[in-house]
Amino acid sequence: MSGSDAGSFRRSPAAASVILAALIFAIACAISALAPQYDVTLLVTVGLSALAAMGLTLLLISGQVSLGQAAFMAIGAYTSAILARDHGMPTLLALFAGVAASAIGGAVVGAVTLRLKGHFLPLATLAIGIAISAAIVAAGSITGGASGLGQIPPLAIGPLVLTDDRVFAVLVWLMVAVLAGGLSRLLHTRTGRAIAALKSDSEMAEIFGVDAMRLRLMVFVMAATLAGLAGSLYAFYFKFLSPAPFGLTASVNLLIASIFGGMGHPFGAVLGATAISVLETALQNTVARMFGLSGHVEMIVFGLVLIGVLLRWPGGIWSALERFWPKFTVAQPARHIELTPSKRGAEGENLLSVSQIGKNFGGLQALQGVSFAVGADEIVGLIGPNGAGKSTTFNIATGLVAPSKGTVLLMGEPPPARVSDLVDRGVSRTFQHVRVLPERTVLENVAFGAYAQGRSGMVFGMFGFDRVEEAATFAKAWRALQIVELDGLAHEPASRLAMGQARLLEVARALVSRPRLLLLDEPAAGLRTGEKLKLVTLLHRLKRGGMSVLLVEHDMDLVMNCVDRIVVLDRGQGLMTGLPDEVRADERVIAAYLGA
Amino acid sequence: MITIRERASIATNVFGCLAAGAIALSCSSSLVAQEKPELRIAAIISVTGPASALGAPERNAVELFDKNWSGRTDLPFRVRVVSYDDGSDPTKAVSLTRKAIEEDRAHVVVCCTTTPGSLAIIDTVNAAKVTMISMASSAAIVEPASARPFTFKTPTSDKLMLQRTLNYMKRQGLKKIGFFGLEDSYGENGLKELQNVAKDTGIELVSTERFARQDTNFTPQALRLRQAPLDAVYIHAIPPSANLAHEALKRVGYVGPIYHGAGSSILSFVDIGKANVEGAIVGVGALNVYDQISKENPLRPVLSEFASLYDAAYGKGKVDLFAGQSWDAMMLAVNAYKGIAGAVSKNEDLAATRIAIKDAMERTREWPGVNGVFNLGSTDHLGLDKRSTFLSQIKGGRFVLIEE
Amino acid sequence: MDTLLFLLVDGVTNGAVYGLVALSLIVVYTVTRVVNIAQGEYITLGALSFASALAGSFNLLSALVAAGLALFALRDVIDRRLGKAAKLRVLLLRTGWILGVLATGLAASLSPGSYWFSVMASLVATASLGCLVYRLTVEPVPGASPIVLLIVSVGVYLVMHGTAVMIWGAEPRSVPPVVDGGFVLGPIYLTYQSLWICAFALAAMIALYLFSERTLVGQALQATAVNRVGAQLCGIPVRTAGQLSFAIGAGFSALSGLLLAPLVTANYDMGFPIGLKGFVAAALGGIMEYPTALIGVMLVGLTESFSAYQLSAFRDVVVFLMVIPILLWRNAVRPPESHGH
Repeated sequence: MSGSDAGSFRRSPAAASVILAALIFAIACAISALAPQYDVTLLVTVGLSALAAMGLTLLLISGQVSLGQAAFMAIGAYTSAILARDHGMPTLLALFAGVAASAIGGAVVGAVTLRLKGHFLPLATLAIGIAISAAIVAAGSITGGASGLGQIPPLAIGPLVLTDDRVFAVLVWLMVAVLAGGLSRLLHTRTGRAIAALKSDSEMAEIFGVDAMRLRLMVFVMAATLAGLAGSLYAFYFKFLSPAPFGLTASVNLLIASIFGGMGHPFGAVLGATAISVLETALQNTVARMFGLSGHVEMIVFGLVLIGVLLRWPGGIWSALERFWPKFTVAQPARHIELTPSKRGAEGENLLSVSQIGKNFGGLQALQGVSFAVGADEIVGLIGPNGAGKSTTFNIATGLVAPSKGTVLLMGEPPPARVSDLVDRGVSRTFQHVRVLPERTVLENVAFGAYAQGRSGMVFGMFGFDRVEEAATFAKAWRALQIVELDGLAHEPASRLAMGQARLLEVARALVSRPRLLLLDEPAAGLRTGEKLKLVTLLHRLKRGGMSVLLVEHDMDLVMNCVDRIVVLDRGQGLMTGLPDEVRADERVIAAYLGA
Repeated sequence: MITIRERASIATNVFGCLAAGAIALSCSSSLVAQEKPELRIAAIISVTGPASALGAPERNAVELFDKNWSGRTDLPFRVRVVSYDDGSDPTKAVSLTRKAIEEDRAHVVVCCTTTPGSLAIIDTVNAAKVTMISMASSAAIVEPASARPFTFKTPTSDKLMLQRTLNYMKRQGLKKIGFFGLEDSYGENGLKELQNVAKDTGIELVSTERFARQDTNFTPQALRLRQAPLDAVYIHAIPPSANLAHEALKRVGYVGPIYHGAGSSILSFVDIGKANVEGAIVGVGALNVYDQISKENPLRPVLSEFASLYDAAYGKGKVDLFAGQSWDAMMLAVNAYKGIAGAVSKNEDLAATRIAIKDAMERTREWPGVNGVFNLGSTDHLGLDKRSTFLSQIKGGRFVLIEE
Repeated sequence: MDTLLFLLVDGVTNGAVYGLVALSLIVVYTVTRVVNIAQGEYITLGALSFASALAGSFNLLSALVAAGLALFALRDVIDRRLGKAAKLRVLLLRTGWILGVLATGLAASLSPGSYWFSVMASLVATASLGCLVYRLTVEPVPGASPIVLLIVSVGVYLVMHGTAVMIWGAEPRSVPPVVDGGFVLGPIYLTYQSLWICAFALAAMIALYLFSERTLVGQALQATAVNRVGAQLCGIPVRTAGQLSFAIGAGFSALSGLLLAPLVTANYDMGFPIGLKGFVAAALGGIMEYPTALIGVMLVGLTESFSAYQLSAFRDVVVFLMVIPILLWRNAVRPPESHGH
């Protein structure tokens, strides 16, 4: 890596994650060593909450909400405890078993609730959480019921038996630091980008090869695993379990910790868990001791603080501190690489061919008998008045929508059943409305396009085994930005782009996925004249590089200047297909669209 | 004739003497005060959270104790009380116990209101060798005493109460009963004990129905009980659930006798229930019927004193079972300390004092508390017997003693 | 057979109560997008203030609410953007409102035991409280994501719960039913109170339906629910819509508390489980649609009854597990709109 790369690493979020994680661990060790035992107990409790809350934060980043996180803690805790106490399993093994049980539980719940949209998911997790709590109480003979399960043996790692609070605290916070640092680093890697995309726009993510369902499930399992870890550690620390700390209240408290601390960032969870504990202790000491008022006043004050902080900083405490966190930047590589289209499809075959497709939406006949093809190395324009069915055609061509009749062949085969397989066919597309990740930089958004070419998952991303792959990804992203001439804006947040620039960003992102066929939905909408000229040049350049383009456009000058052939649609039917000059002179087209 | 200067000097002298005297007095009294050993009691109570219905009166009694005892100077020792709220969370109970032991350097920890909380802190108090007095119901908290050397509790156990109740039932000729109880640790324990005592007494438990503290609807379970072939129903809950369960039984047409556990022996049971709970037979602690207990009963003076203190502070007739449980805990601690206060030196060896208190607790004999007469020993850390249980019947909206 | 009838009556009565709460949640959610965790607390506050008003003590809640209203009125009147005439109008309206809250509280305390005065006092105070809560916690953050609003509502819950205990203590209070007693219908005993509950719930739902569909204000509320900006552009005061929806939601919940209290006593902890089941019912039935919410509600009530009968220890497990397949089915048939763009 070049010198500038090392420099940018120093200022990068990855480095900051490591530094902050190390700092947290150091502080925790200091407290464990020096503070009175009561505070160490608090330290352990906060650490365990932070672990579970981190899982929630990851879920929230992916756009899911769980109101049952404490129930997964319970699964881990009770499994470990029962195996260790009643079945003589060595405690370390029991710990792993507990974590595994939570992971499995998460997989089951996640699979069941995968497709639930909107507020149904939190409701389902709420229901499951309560059901699990109630089941623990009802199955009293195994779990001890409401009275609790005691005499859990202490955790033994090899010859070391962890009965000392301070050693245990160090262990817990080691895990907190490592996992928080890892998750924080994950945010700016391949999987992290995909997870963030799940929240804002999972359909767009699928276009670039993200298997949204599978990733969502993985995130859910990860969250459950973290909760299970926290729960198992709880069992071996307090050596006594009861359903009370794992009920709905506990789940809500974890959610509060996540959001109060900062729902966008794993360190926010640590911050939130710590802040709540500090607040509670402070309230106990002041309100209760000094003023001699009852615990209910503490509750009121806590509620007021919660409301106050969130009204002022809806993003949580972390959002107030975020400006001190380094921005994610990647230096431009010294040598640029070329973006060649992937070699897919047989020679001489049409990349896309639709024949006699029709589509009904209920009673509305959107398309009827439309046929055309796009071959290699050509630019085809699809024009027609509004409502002619252009976007529907696009959606059918890419497999997002199934036609009511007719056939579509994409690279010689029907469109893939799963949208996430589209990118492997060498096909990419943009949308009518700009679909980017607004909080991420332009460069990161473009890098997202390379998702399908990468392999590193959550673990690699968390612990930095993906450096080579990420370097290659960003090299491609930089190249694409240069091609569309947006490289000056590489580190701006995507939300700051003007409409025209955002469209170019989408083209760049599509380029990175190395398509053979690129479908552009109104790429020139919102562009100024100069920008439109640049777009035409760009399209020609792409064609020379071995890419075909199918574009929908309203700007006739642009279309006429850059396409090889034009397909005209009107009211769901193909009007004609031909060279630009032919189309321009055709009477039917003039009557329907170009105007007399 | 006294000149002004002389007056001034006299005044100065007088003033000086007075000041010196005052300083000397305060020095001596503070010296004396410093020499008095201090008993530090930490009370960790569930004032908030699901158990707050029990915790609130317990807290009241603790505050009453604090007011009456902390300021007293006529004793050979001082008393200091520190209160905490564990929010019905065993996790918090553990950390607060540790705080009380380390930071507050407490000699005795009075905790907890709930069974899970009490069980959770046992390891902590054993390790620190600090006496703990629980206010929760389960006998498992203090048994076996060999595994729980530092744990004591004040509420009479469900086993004793159930023994009295079921023996009474047997004498009434009842053979089959149903259990209608809470799902929480209180209800669980009650069921377990009932199953044991029923076997011993020869009464058959034919039906078991459960409900949660916050439930609003008891009809289905009541229906089930009514349809079972039983002679009586035993309700093991606290108001308002105990009332609602009772009313549900009547509403579905059950006409047999209804018995209640000690959880219903609080005033709100009759306040809420009014005419609906007439005729219910309730196992009560001494406090509910203190003015009806025979005058020879050693508990009577203790009860009257506590009741009048409590009622004066919190309102007539407000005194109830739960307040008595924490009161007994505090008084037991004081009683134990009295015995050893003389031996405590100025530079106290905290660890030794704590163990001494535990030993003194185990020497408590025939001590009348408001829950019963305590006879503690090294193998019995509950120390109560039949004398802590009473049977009453609701007549005219009051607890009327029917068996002592 | 009589078992079935009993359970049916039981299930329907409970369903009616959950239904009122479900409606409150729906009204609040549709107009403001807030999943109001604190909704259950209005039940508690309604029931407790009713109980204490009935006993003759001056309703502390009315006083607090009046104070809050006064503060806001002050703030609104000094708003420099308003012209003189507007200021005067605001002043008059607010004063009338505050006096109304105080007057109902006073009337109830001056005539202890008067059922309807106490009902009025309780409903007026609680509904006004709903409006205040909206102004304090939702209005200032129009752009906040639903999850943040949810956590803010948890904060509101904590404040209300603590305040309820501080004002009324932890002891449960008994409340007399609207009409005592009941009658025997075949093998079962129906209390008049159960009938009143069903009747009131039904009347309230019909009234809400008519209000939303037939009146201009109701339509405006719906418009705000569908598209906030669009509604604003049409001249609909969306903030007032929000306040109104919170007030209606609070009022309905308080009403369900009043109706339920005679059956289960008014105590500080009654709100949360009912609010929870109401939430489940609302989400099952369709958090956006009133009529189907009733089906969801009845389903919850009936399942609860029957599973409690069969295996009372596991009834909560059954009720809450049952939610999952229903959700899956509803999601397939008509998925809710996803939030958070």
